[in-house]
Amino acid sequence: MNWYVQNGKESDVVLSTRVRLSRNLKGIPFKTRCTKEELKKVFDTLKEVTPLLGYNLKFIAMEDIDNLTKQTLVEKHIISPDFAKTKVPYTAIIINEEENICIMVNEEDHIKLQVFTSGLDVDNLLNLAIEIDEKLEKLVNYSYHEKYGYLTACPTNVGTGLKISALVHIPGLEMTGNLNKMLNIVNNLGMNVRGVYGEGSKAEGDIYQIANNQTLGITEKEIAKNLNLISQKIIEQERIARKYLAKNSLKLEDKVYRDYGILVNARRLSEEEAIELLSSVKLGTDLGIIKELTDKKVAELILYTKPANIQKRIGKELSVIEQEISRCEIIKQIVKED
Amino acid sequence: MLCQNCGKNEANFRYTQIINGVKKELILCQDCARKLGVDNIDLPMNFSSFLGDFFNDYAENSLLPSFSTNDVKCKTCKMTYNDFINTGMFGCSDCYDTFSGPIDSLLKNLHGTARHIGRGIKGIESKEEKIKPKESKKTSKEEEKEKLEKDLEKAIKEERYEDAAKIRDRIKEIDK
Repeated sequence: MNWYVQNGKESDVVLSTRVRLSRNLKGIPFKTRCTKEELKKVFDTLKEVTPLLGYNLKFIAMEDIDNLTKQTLVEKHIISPDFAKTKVPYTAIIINEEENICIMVNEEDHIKLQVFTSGLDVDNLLNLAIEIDEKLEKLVNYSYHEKYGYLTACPTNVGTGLKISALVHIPGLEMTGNLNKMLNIVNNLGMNVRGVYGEGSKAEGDIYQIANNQTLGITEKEIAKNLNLISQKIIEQERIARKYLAKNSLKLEDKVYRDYGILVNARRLSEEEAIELLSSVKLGTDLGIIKELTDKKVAELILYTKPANIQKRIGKELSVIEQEISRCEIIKQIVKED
Repeated sequence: MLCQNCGKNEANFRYTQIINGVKKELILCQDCARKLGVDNIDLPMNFSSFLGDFFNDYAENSLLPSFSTNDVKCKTCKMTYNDFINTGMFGCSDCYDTFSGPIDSLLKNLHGTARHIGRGIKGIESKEEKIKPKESKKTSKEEEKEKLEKDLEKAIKEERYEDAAKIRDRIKEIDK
């Protein structure tokens, strides 16, 4: 069971954490100004050094991955949607079987080193990223500037090149009307918040991504510390909100069980509706109200009801309507499992 | 309403195109939208130039006359400052030296500072390595910074967010 269907620390609120380092090779222009030959040079260099990195990493060219599999990687939050769609040649990923390490080659920068974990675990994850970065640095030559640090195509990443983000599920804050207040506080403390699905201030499924804005003039430890601090604050406030909701237990029980009822009995569910129902059902399970599900089953339901993952699990491409029907079949399968 | 393309599926996608004042509208189902390549149109707002314009506004005060035309080109990748404004991205590592004037002020607006203090590559010591261990004497600046960081934590815990923001700004001032 890979990290994206497991439960980690504080998983009731924090779904997953990601640490990402942006790096470029010395002597080769950034992607915006690369010729085809230069892109190939980056590609070949990274391909050569992959076996020397360890961690059982495999180098896979993006053109060797079919579109459906690419989309499943996007849904697992392992690669960016742009990277999955790009027509730029000589793109690749370096990934291990557990899929908790994934280096994107020739995305916005030559190298986007990413590591993931379920739940909140910033310090260990940062250490892993730095460990891999140090190994890679011995095998290739990074572009580094004495004043500006690690050089990146976009100045928003320059310096440490470090972006740490956490995916949080905050239905409690939304239902108690405290969402905007929390989002403003996070923004005021220099972090970036955005909804993962949908647009506007209310994200579908009440899932948000918190990430640091500043990458320059700050140490890696400080970025980690700040993100941890803010995440802990959000966790604390979300749990308080949930406790408050649980006091009016009949109302909450009714809502989550109704949503559970639709989830397991519907014959056809759209992606949007499933996201909302799953948010409610996860809340119910986290609070111990819904006894029919486990944390593990909820994590599986969240992933395997997404469009590409549905088709991957069924084994073929499906139209939207077929997906809506299969979604319900998969839900029933997962709920029935032991 | 049925999809205008296949006439079979229920339409849930509306694609509107206005070019030179001529408006075209298509009502499609998701499959046809994907097939015709219109389901993932990027936002009409051109984000790359939006980012570049944002940088340009802040950098304007420090622009030397030559930067506002196409005179200054990076020797390595031939990018001009205008190219950067249009895409929001640099062309190569040498651009950071070529355009270091305006870059400094835009970095200050993005990150609050234009100097890297984190990890370095081997051969170049980063400031982190130079921080002395706790037992030895600290400079008054470092001491003040430590105290401010403790205050910041306390302010956040006690939900005094305005104070926290002020403390954070003072920490940034020390780092400059």
